[in-house]
Amino acid sequence: MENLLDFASTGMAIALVALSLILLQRSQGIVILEIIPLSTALVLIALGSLRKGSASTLDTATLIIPLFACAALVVMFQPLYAKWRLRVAGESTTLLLSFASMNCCLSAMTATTSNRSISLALADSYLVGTKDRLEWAVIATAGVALTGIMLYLRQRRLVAALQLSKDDFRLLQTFGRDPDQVRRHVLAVAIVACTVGMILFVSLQETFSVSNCYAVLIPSFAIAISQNRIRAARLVTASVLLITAEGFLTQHTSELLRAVHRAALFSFFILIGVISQRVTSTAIALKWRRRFFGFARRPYALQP
Amino acid sequence: MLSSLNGYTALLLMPMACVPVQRLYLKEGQRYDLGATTYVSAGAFVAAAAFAPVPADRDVAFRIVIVLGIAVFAIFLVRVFALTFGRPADFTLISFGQLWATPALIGYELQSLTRGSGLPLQSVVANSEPVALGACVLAASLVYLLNQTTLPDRLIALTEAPEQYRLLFGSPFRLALRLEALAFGVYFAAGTLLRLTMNDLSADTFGTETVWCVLAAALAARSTQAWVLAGPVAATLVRFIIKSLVPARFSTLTVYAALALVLVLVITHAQEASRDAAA
Repeated sequence: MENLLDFASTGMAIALVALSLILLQRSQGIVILEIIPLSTALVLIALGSLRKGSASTLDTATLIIPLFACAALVVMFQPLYAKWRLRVAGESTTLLLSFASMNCCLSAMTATTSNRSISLALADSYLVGTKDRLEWAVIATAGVALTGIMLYLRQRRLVAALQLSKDDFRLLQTFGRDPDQVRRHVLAVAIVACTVGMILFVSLQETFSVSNCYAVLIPSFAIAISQNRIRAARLVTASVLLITAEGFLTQHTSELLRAVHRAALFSFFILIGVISQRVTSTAIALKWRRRFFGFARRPYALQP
Repeated sequence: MLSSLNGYTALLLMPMACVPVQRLYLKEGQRYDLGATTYVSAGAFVAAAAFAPVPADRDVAFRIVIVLGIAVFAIFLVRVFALTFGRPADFTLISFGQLWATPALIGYELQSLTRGSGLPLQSVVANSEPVALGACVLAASLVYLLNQTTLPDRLIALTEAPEQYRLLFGSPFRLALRLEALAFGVYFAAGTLLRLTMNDLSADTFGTETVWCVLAAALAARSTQAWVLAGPVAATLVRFIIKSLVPARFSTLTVYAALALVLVLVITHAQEASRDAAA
């Protein structure tokens, strides 16, 4: 039960970050990975002030310049990615560019903070008391945030707009909506979702440094690219399953292999995505469904 | 300046050896391969196990080879599957997974077997210039030989029109298997060359080397004939400048900044590839 609560709370936090990445994937055509360092820096600045540590603790003021550089990169590249993706007729180049920019920002932040971490241990604070309470609070907050974001997206009809704007933004104009405005709106929502998810994930940790953000990036990226629809329940299920699998693998092997398990599960989720695309494109699922229903109806068809 | 540049010819080896296959995947297949590191590390540790002078070190290297061998087998199957059924972006994403997993796996093995002290290697007394020249000749001949085969045309057909490919040639599984076998052979050989030129087989070495290979391939993708070699040479020159001028703590930042800059140049100089973009 204790493990389950741990996995569920981490999974809910990861689901929020995955939601932000899938929103960007839908609106821009690629996952803009630069929002991960941006959110990490925002979170470290916000949470770093909660508990003042020793001189060896990360000085959050050193993150301000890389944070602004990262924000400038997101603002500058965001309108270009959608255009460039069509220009090179594929996601690979733009995806690698986004990956390189993200690593650039992360390296800058790691260098300026000398890879120091902030110590949080919120479970020990007098407001929370126990780890269970903290995990329940994270689950509740993540649930409220996910519901709120999904309701907001539906109310503003952004989900429908996302489906239209992915490959041909001219379709949006025929419905009287400005595509650039829609993209900026979705980007803002994605940054908020990613930052909330990161805050919740970091608050569960004892200590956290910039380089630890791969723990959020890899699972959320895997979940985002394996989904073909924006469904909150599916995201939560996938992220809890992924975190549980990773947790059990780590429990039965070594803690040092955690990064390997994470990357292996990342590849596994991509394989699931490839299989589901293949099943959809070849209509295998439809064929099997028809065969199944045909088989189920046959006894009735024989009756006069 | 010239003498230190001379010493850096060893760095040219791996990008030069890997560029024919990387370029094939990139130019004809629109796929970036960041996962060469798995095959390369297997080759490097096999060479280390074969030529280790002390039996204890040989045993450590041999055990790492066994673990890497299992990883290579698994990833070979995954890559063949992604090539056969996936989009170009899926293959690139699989290679991201390899980039994250392989150094972590090597780091874990070195940590558990040598307590993080690494594998002591005997330095190979080899003159780097003839080896680098040999790698140039090998890369050029491999590019020439690859162009004589049907592999590039088939890969273009599979990337541009997978359904039509299936109708014309049947399942792309055999093509994927041939491509991956070629990639394995070339990267594994590049790994043994890496062992000949480097004495540090730590986890960090392999991640950075792959990024340099991708950078070299991105520069070489638009070139033809002998100009293909310009990509690895330019990448090595950039690497020399970064290593000489940039402080070590900012080197990763600069490597990725260089990669981002090259990719921006590649995209902005690309011809309009889709009808929507042209419109």
